[in-house]
Amino acid sequence: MISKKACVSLSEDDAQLTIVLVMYPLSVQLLTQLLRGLTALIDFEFSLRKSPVGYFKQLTKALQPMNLQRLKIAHIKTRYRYLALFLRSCKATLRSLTLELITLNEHECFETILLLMIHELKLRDCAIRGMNAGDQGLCFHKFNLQRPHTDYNIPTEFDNEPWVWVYANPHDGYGFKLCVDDGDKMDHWLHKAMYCVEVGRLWSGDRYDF
Amino acid sequence: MPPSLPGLPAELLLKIIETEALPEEQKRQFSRLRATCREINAKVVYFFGSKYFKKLKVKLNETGLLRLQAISRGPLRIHVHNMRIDVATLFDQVVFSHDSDTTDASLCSWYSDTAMGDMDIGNFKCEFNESVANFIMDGTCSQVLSPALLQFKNLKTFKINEPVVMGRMVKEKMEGIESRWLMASKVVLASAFAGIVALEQFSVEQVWQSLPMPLSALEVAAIHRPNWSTTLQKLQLDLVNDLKEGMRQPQRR
Repeated sequence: MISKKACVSLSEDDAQLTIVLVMYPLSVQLLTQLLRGLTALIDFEFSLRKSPVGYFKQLTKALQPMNLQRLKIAHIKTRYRYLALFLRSCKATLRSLTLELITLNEHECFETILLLMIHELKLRDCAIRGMNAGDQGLCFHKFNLQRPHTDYNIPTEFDNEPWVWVYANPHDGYGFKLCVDDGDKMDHWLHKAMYCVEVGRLWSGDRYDF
Repeated sequence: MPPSLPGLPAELLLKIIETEALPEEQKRQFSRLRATCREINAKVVYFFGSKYFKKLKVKLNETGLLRLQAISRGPLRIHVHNMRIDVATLFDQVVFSHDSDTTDASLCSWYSDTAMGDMDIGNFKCEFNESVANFIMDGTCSQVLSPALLQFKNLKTFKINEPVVMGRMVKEKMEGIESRWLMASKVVLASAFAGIVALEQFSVEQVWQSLPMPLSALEVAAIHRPNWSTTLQKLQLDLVNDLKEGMRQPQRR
């Protein structure tokens, strides 16, 4: 049976073909109409400030699966379910993921996202920055203390004593970055992040604040 | 016949240019040689373009777009792979130090006293650039930009720089900037969608304290499908939702 009205969404079962018109809000339509037909797109960075509650949910439902290799999402408020749905839609190809200033419903959602990253995605690098859960920010001080940075000099003809400076930044709670090519064991460190995360003040993305 | 400068092969002419150690001097040397005669210009223009015109920064005002138009009609256009549109021209923002002679209180009217105190870097003189606004509003900008972009067949990367504000502005001025930024976004996007042929990267670039592009500017995508939809590999969008709509469940009919 085909309805009389215009068609956007198709569903089919054994008995009948039903075509229904699904009207998404204009803000969702504007983005999907741009993304539709970008068949070669492999690298997508998307940030939307002041997005209303439920925006990402509807965007995820409206978008077609994409073959993204690199994805950055910023300034989004969503539930775990829809973020996971979006990530799963490109999990076969996704190798680099950045989540910045994402607000999830609950603290547990963050752990579930990490589990998804460990078990379902094959990431080569990932960055998590300014994550919020509910009305609290997620801090990674403890995590970063376990990941000391190194700095070293290049010996010159005047100073040929090589040195390596190993340091950890106890104030760096904003986020972390992992990269397999730099020697990070992705699964190991994502598990660590799950156990080391603390709650603190809400991370704000207001660019006009000082 | 004694050798003359125009008779020298391009390799030797390039050697003459390379005698200048500093890059700025080399560029001046190139320009001087190109200005000598048509014959020399024809020999070195390819090298000049490949060295200095791979990246092109275009200011969104009459002068900037006329320069773009001139480049689009000349031999240098084939070298441009990367173009950046700078919309900082929408308003002028000049910083004075505290000990400057400027004492006019009206100069700071764009920022509240609190914001000025927090920033503690001096005074600002801010004003809208009305000539740029008129240039965009009367359609001249679009008439120049679209046909010019069509000529850059090798353009691979197109970036739009967001305008930057120094801190929290008073509401009235911020609204003025946002409406001008929206207008400029629509014109630039429409020209880029319609004019560029085979783009690989499109970016709306965020920098510290820049204003994100209003989401409603993407309305132009409904009218102009990008010519480069099958070649685009990287898309970078920094947006702010300026639509006053409630988010409801999608309506099924």
